[in-house]
Amino acid sequence: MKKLFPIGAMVAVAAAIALAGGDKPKPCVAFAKSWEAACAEAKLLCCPIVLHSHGFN
Amino acid sequence: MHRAVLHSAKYIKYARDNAVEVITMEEIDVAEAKKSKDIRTYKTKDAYGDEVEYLAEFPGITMEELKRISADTAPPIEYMQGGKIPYHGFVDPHTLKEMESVRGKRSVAQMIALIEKHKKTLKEKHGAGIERKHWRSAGQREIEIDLALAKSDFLAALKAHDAMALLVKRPAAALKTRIESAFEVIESDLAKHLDTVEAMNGPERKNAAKKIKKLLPLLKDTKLEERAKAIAGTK
Repeated sequence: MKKLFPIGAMVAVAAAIALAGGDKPKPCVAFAKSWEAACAEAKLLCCPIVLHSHGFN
Repeated sequence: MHRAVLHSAKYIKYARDNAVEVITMEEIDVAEAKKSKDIRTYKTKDAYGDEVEYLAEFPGITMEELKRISADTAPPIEYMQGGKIPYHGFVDPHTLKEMESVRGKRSVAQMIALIEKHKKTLKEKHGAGIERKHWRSAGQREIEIDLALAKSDFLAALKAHDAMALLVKRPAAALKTRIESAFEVIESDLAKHLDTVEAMNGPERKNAAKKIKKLLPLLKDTKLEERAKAIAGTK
């Protein structure tokens, strides 16, 4: 279906419920789904964008 | 991976109200080739009911999204400059300038102290922001509008917009533009629907006009009010 509000879709996705199959999600801090979404959200919340860069173990 | 912070209940709770978190990962292709346990996925449904596959280590993020934000051409790379990882940068969303960065592992308490410091600076410069619950609520209403428009259920779309518009009262006044944009989306779809109804005849038009009549209270003082009234026969 057409998704007219990409930012809205991004923030609400965190509420999705896991189905059977695959691994289980780990409790984790919620990450923005794109840089653009992070900028838009942080601007309105007036809080810093916390950017993490890591490597795989 | 820096699970001590990113998976910490204390940090998760703190970050929910005080920061917007972005993750980038190095050498994703190597992790894929090695079938690293860190890239295992789980299946779920997104807010639209569409099936998606998220990374178990980063719930809500797909592999495609992680690759996109970690790409050499993506904006975050400008801050990291290829230095040592782990890297933690604190970026001002208004200027997109890095306020500070630290490299190497940090404790939850250290991360929280750094965010507090930069949040205070941002508040002094730009005033307090809106609460995250209002941001989330706006997103949920947008999805309701999207889902309603997909079914041409204009009454549900306008009701969801009305609920969204309540957010414009303080402290969420900053959402005004987004709320106005959401209405423009509904208005555009509804205008096309009114064109269709105007071209109808007989019982079909009568039924469509009945439905439009129900929209009138929610179209008050809008561009479409007069057209809708004419179709509904109340003018």
